[in-house]
Amino acid sequence: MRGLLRKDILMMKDGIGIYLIFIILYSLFSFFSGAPDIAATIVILVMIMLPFNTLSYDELYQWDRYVLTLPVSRRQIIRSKYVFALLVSGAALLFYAAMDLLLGGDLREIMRGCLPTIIGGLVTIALAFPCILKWGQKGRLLIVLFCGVAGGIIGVLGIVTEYGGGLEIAVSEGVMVTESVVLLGALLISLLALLISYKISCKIYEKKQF
Amino acid sequence: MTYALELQHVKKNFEHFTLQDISLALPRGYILGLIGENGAGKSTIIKLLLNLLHSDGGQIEVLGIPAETFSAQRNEQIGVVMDERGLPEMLNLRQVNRIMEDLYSSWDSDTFYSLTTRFGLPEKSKIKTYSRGMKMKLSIAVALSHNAQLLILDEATNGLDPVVRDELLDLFLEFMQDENHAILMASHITSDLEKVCDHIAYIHEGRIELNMEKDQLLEDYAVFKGSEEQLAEIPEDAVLRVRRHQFGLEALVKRNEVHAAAALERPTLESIMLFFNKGTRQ
Repeated sequence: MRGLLRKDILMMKDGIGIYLIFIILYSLFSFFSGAPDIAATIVILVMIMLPFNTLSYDELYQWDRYVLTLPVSRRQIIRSKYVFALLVSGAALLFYAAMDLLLGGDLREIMRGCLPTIIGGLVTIALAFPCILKWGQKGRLLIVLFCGVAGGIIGVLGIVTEYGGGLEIAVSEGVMVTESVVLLGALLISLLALLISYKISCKIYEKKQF
Repeated sequence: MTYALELQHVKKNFEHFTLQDISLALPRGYILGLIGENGAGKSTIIKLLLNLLHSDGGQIEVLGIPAETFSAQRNEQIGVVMDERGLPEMLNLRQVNRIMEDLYSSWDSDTFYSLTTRFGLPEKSKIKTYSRGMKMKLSIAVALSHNAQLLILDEATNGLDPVVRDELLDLFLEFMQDENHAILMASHITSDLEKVCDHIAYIHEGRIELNMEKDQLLEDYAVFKGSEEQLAEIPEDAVLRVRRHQFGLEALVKRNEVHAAAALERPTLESIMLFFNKGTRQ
């Protein structure tokens, strides 16, 4: 699987230039305006784009067909795509944390600013990957729909963290939970969605013909 | 005799095309050429062998393992070239080497760099800057750098100039110095196959029309050129296909069954393919 990840990272390096310009510009803007959320949103959007880009390139150069002739199983190929998505998400999270700490933020601010978008990104990937593997370009059109779903999730989590009274909100009658629990719970659910998505993708890919 | 690959009564149905009852075997130590017009089913057979397509019947074994069963060990021993595409074109040769080093346990960087140097491929340029011939050479260098025993080549010499094609054919013959090795070559450049193949299988509209040793094929069959009257003198069973044109006719005949006095020419794989494709039975 290392070779597959290396391939995706090397491919990503080629097109990262334009993204880096955006990230640097928005980071500078965030830095001087003291609002890390702006750069975080851009970084996380890039994070969502990159795994999809690798799938597009695989199709464009017919690597998706060629890789099946190499000593890697279909399951390993799919696993590498999800691991790549998680690695990029982790990198985006680290970037945001560094940016926030640099601006004097704390852990709670990092969670509030960053996790909703990360969760939205993971949910988009979880929903879109099986569709792209199943329908190719047509499946890609659904990303727009899934981004809408993710946007809704981000919005709801944003409202929860913004108006949750700082530390505590009521999620159901008589039950009080902290916003951290909501966010971490949502993160766990998104990871679970990613796991289910991986299983579905494996099944789709096992049957896929080229 | 051990086979590098074997297909028995293989079928594959598509909406507008059916591959019917394909039986083929490639013994180790041989080169099998798969000829046929575009859309005849050559690439479908190769995709079935590589498990890129799933068959609708029959058995397929590659290096003794069913094609539909994934085996990393088997795939280590197969080198595949499918036209010039497959490798991401934003990579350069060094990056390809690093990726393949991770993927193949038997990857041999020295062999890879010696082949790419022999082919004159620049190390630092991206693949997208390569010509078609260079991309093909790179694919072939990859296929030959992990101690493969079986090469599967789908239109590997298509669109290349005669010098490059000749160079690659020499390389394939070098690969065949080891008698455990085998090559399956699908192409419609029949002259290339005529140079290197031991066996020829001709596919037409999803069926195997001919499957025999190349030398035997070219010796047993002959091209007769003449008139309708002269053709009538040849036993009916000896005539396989006839092509009529403005100035007479040509027939593909069984050499041994035709009277010695008849003017016969040695066929080429291309002429045989044209007879089966364009000719009529009588």
